Amino acid sequence: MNPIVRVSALGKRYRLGETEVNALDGVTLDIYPGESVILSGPSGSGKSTLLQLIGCLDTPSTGTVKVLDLDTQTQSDNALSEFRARHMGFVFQTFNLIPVLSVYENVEYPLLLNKEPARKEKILSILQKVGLEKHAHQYPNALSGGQRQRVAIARALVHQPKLLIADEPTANLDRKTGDQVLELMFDLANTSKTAVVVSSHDPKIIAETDKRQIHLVDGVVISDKPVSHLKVAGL
Amino acid sequence: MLEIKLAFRNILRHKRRSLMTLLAIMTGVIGIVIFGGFVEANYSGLRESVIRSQYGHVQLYAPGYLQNHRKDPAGHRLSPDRVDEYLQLLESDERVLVTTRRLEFTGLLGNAGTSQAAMIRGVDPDSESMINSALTILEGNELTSDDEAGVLLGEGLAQSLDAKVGDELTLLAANDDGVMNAVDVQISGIFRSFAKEYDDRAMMMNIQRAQELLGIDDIDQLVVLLNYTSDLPAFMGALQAGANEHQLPLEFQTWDQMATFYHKVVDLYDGLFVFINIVIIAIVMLSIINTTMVTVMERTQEIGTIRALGTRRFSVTRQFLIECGLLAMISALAGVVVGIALSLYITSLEIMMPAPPGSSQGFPLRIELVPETWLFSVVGVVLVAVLSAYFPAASAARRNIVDALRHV
Repeated sequence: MNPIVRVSALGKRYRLGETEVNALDGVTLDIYPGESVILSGPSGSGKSTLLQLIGCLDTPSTGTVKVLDLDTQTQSDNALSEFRARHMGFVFQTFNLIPVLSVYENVEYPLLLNKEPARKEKILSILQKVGLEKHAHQYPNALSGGQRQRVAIARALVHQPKLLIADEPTANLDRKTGDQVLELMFDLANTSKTAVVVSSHDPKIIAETDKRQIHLVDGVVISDKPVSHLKVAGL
Repeated sequence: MLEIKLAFRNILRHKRRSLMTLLAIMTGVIGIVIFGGFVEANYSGLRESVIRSQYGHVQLYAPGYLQNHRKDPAGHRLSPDRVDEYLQLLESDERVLVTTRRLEFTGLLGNAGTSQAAMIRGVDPDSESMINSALTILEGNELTSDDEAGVLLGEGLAQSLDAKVGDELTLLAANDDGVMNAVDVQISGIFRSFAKEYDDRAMMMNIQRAQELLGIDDIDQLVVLLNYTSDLPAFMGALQAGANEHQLPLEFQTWDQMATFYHKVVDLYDGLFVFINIVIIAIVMLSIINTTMVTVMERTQEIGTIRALGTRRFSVTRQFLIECGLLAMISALAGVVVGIALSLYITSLEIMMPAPPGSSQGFPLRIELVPETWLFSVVGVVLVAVLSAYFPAASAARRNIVDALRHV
């Protein structure tokens, strides 16, 4: 099976004043269709940077990122925008819903970008799956954190993308809600055969997950194994 | 559709900010509507005053009159036969309200105490009163055709002669052979036109008496007044064609060519109007730039989000432009509505304005309703708003997505 994401010798350097920071250094990995991956590591380890590069939101300093065989570095901004709209979904730590749009309209947004017909059915179906069909006409500021993140998940998956990128999606939620949101996200992604890459520095999530786990420290992949292997290694 | 919906909701999202921008733009548009209407009222008022108190719409002359009548007036007058030919041509045109004959010359007007040089106009009293409908008779009566000795004096001329209605004066003028003739005249009335300079030297008398004084039966001008000033271009076309057809020589001036005072006033007001428009455009630009910059800063993370979801840069820019354009349009339309209401109210107050420079009469303050000005202000304000919003909006759309998402 061809990987959906192929990352080769990926490096990303930032300048912070006079200092050059190596956010990622020589990262190489493949992610396969339908696969669920958790990027773990301490703050500043490069998880978010790796997600941004895989999500075509930024360009690498060295190495290559190929998503669905598309070399992201050679594409124009418009081409990448269209590619993201069609094939990717995003869930952010701070929910990032559009405040002036209702729940329904927020979920509709990616479908409008893709000019998809029969939007209503898809929206109502996914809202039902995330348990928010009764909140369809409410605005984000009337929802709890967990509800907002469920809207964000619905928005990320409504157009059945090939890849879902979620950057610390539970960081602003309490433990119980976070667990529910994560479970919901993996379930829905699994149903739609969407590959998921989630970053987290939550030890409980890392400890309890049965997903593939890529552990980063200082921009370097130090482990790419199931969680049991990490436990054995004492990481 | 989504963009319009987003624009409306974002305008309502920050009500106070939108209201401040709306008030700034509205104030500017009200200024344009009222000042534009005031200027137009002045243009049309002055234009009609000039036409109806002095020039008529068109004056017809003998060939060469305009260039040579001062040094050789006798050789450049219209004979009675030629006048009849012109009148036949003009009578068939329904746009013509009235025609009148004039004979102009200079003379010396005196009484027992003093004498003054005067510009004398011989007129047909009945038809002249229609053309001179904007003249104000301050004392006495208008000229009548059966009052051969009667004259009208301009206000300034009457003052300089210390003359009043009923006084007798002696008028001295040279005929075409240079021989001085004199006639006695009696003041029937004292008038005021729109131009003080004219009133200081002008006298009107019955044209037959003027012809007798000069020993001629010719005239200088055949003056044409139309029903409507807007008919002038079409009338001139028909007059030219008629003159060509009847092989009549045609020398003429329209009111527009004669009224230098009118053009000076128009130039002055046009300059003021441009200045006011520039000030208003600056207000609109600053308001919109300020609003857009604050909005863009506040919505940086939102911009990052929609860019991440796949919205193109241009769509982000367009979103802000639609938002600013919509706010500007709503503000401008509200400004036009309030401007119209204020224009009607101000006109209804009938406030008297002081006499403009060079004029002897004040005038009622009128604000005309000028749809072209409304259209100009709405379209102009929306364009300025969109142009002003472009750079902050485009700069926001060009921002790195990752940086925008991190923005707090």
